[in-house]
Amino acid sequence: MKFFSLKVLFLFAYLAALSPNSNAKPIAFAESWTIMHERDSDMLETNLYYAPTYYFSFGPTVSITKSAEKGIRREANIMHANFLLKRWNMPNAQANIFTTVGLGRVKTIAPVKHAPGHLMQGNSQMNLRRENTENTRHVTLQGDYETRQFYTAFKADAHQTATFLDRTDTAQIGFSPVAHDYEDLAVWFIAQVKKKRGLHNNTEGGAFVRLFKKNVWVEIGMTERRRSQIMLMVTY
Amino acid sequence: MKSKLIIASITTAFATLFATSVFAAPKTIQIGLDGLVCAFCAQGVEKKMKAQAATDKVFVSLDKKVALVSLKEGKDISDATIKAEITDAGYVVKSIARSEETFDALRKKIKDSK
Repeated sequence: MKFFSLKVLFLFAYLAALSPNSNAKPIAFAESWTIMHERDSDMLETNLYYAPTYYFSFGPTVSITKSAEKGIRREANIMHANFLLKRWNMPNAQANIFTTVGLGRVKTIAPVKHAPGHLMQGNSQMNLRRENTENTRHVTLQGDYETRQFYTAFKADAHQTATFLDRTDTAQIGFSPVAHDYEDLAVWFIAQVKKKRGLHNNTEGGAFVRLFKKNVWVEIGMTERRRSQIMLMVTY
Repeated sequence: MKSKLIIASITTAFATLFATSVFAAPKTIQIGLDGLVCAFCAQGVEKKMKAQAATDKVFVSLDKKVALVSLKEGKDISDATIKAEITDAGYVVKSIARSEETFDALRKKIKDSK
């Protein structure tokens, strides 16, 4: 197992301090380290994974999810284990099914609400907030099919505690105009639909550009509500 | 006596030539693979093959679906080891071919071929 340099550790700490669901593969390759950071209008998430084999990886995730409409913020720290359930290696394509399980703690910060008839009911209580920390579990199922010029993926995600269940389903389809090789910069154009239930209730489309060369992956785009989304991944 | 010496010399020369050609160490190994479609795929194969003691350099082509391994002088990697390492990387070996051509020459051939 390689040990990170101080620079990389500081990078992770910085990204963690800043900080949704990455749709990148949770396992890059055997004996790899991966740092992923993703943010959109509603969440920040940073993952650090180590994959001792090509079919298993594990590591911590730090995330912040918020709803401006409800005034709710969730800060989660979860340890994840990722499994490659099945891979199909074809002459010109590859397909994969992954699952992820995570256990951790989440702190929910929400505005205080008073029952009808209460003296304070009806007053704006946004400056009075309640914090609740509880155990959380996180499960995902994702799959992908790709060639050197075509990509499609789906992901079903559930984040649950005793008091809430947040669901996110994502589908992506992508195209690369050039059949890139290993030493080339791969440029992908990705279309995405994301459906959220729980803290958020919406279905939103988006378009992204993915740049991928050797061990660095950057994805930048915008949703139909004109909100930016960015994802950065580096693998060692 | 003289004729016997000549015959012995010729026989020795042929034997040496034969031994050299049969037991000449290969310079490169070309591995045909399934499932190579992205940089992570290539990176995984490259890492596994670079970790072999006999490996000098590795080149992976997604286009030709091959990994090219340059061997250190006098060294080789067995087919069983290659298959085991590639399987451990998560891919499928389709072919293994050894060559006395240099790594750079083969890499150029792979890059230039259509």
